[in-house]
Amino acid sequence: MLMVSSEETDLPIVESPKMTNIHAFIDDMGLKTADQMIRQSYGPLEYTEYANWLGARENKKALTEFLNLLRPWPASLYLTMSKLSHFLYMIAEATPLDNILEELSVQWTEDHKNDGMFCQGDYRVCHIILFSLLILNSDLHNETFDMKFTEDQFVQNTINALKHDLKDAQIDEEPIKEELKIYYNQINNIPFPICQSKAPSDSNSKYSASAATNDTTSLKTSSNRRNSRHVSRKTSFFSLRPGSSVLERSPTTQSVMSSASEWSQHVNAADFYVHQPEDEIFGKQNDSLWLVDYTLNFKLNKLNSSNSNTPHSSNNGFMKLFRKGNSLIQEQQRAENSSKKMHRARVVVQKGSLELQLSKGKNFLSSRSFTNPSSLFGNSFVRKFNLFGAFAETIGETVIDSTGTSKSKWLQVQLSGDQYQKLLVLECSSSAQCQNYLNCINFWASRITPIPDSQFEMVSNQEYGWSEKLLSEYAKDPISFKVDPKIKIFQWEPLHGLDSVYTNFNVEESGKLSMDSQLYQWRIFVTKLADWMHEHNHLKPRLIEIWTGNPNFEVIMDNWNAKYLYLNNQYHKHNEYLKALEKGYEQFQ
Amino acid sequence: MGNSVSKVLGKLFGTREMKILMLGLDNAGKTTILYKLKLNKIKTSAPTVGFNVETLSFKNVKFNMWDVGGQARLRPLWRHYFPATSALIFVIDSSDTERLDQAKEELFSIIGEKEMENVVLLVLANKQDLPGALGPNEVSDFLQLGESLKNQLWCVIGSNALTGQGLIEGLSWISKNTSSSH
Repeated sequence: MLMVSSEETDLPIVESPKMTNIHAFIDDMGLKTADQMIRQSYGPLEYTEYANWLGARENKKALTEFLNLLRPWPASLYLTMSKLSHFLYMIAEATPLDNILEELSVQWTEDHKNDGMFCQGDYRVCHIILFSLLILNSDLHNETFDMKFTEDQFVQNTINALKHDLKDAQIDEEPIKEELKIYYNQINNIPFPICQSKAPSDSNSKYSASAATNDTTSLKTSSNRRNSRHVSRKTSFFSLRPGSSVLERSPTTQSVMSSASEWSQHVNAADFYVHQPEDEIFGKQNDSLWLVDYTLNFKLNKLNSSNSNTPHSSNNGFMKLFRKGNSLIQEQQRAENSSKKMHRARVVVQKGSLELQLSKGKNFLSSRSFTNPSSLFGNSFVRKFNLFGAFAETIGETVIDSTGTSKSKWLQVQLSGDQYQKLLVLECSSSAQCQNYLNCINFWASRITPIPDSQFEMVSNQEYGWSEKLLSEYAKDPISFKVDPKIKIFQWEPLHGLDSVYTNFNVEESGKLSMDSQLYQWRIFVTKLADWMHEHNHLKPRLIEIWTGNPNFEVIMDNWNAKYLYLNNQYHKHNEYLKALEKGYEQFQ
Repeated sequence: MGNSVSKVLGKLFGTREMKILMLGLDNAGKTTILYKLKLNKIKTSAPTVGFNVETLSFKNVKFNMWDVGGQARLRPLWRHYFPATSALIFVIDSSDTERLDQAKEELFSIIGEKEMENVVLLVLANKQDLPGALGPNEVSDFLQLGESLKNQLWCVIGSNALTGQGLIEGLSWISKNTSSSH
């Protein structure tokens, strides 16, 4: 079955030839593959992937044959590595490189029993030196390595490794040191050559031409395993996006993000979600969950830390001082925000975005409604906000409606993370309109924001006052339990989460979020949040018992409060997300 | 205009100079994580024979990542790069339970180095989306970090490098727990 080719399929089926020596057959396969690799004609793989393949345990036979074909190996290990890297593209993962160099060491030691004295007949010495040379080559010639070896450091590092591994053997260090110094200078002057492609041009045709040839079994279990895995993962939750660069591997690369602006880019919120047929139907109906579009008053406030869920940005000394003055700054911020005047604009919420459209001229508007764009949006009349991680809630003045219920017509929208740190305040014409905006904003936010559950399930040995260890020790003997006086208490702070940043980070590779999966995930997350809050609430009496009279009591209580407030905020926000999404489903029915 | 990870990194790390190593067995997801953080804006330098080394710099924060797979024999050769490291990110494939022992051995062989005794350890329990993946709690129990690392700060966070889940949280945790002296 393994050897059936396209030509053979045309022949009448006959009994397979008896294979008297299966090992000889497999050996030939290894040799054939090795030969094809040296000529770069081994179809199933690009030549740049040969090292990863040859270094896999299951391909050891082919590796041995590959190296055999390159024999004899030069007496100099520098020249040996140069020869190998000329024929094999030696940019690969550490494990396969290690396996290749180990096999090479065995062959080299066999070849140089008489003249490779510095390795003292031990392939392990050769192996460590070869690996060290490879590190040195990366170190000296790859700009990414920033701690360049000096000659002494290189020699000492290698000798230390030899001593560490060969504790049982008597190693004569001097000849090895001399040899290493020579190698250092050689590599410093001339790096190992890169194996170049022998194919004239179209490598893809080579790749596909002989895909049906032999020995694909091991490929599936080694280098291709990763790709197939990625694909299965992507399809399990997200739509598959062909050409996603996360699956591509570009070895030995460097990136420098020189400025935030270099990386900032507009991301279309409509790219974040899987489009539903209902989006077309309801997307044109004003006052629906999908669209709200009116002209109203707005202002953009700075977000002060009191109404932000985001954690403190740094724990360095300056920031600690800064935090002490937080309440003053917050007060100042509140005063600044309240004195800001309102502007008038068309406010359109749809497709994951909120767009403010300033009026373009005085001719059509009263003097009150005209806003000079330069004071708000630079020279643009339009500002589009991504609703990723946004949260809308009613605030401020209330009106009494016909049923006598008190309802607000003011709305504030907290925009995600770093989005200009803005809090958008909208003054609607009625409480009903206000509610429509609120529902629509939260509906879209819930569709495009990933579930930020990582930090709630994290495990750490930091002590905030309620570690499992501490509580279990207390539970064993509450009366005589005493807190270790040396205990170090950390300040509890929430972490930045995935929902604090939006960019192509979320779009290009994650795939789009579907409404079904979001509804499912938010339900789980909100239920978990409720459980975590419940659990946290139950902690308090025990904490009081444990920590009363302890100098850390106040810190512990602050920690408890900080986490409680955070959980509460998270529950409130994400429960609203869930309710908004459920409302969307109600409209389908 | 949208936001970017770089802005968040700037907020997280300020102007501190840090060196963060990201290590783990092959196929744990290290490269995917770094590419995710790089937003695929990769300036490819001239290829150099040797190891896949990935670096991301933002202001004074530098992430150096390489995999230290291979036999124990070769591990001392990497020691040169351990000093001056502020944090170690160790990536584990949470779904590959057959290799957890190997990952544990690898982790302790590195974190046990003298030069690493002051680094904070972030374990990313990666591939949380795969069926059968161990949760952060289970990974933590398996690694026995509580018993083994008495004087070192550590944290296990579940992650999914494809969606980015857990990555910002992990960096945020590092930023809170590394002093400016690092």
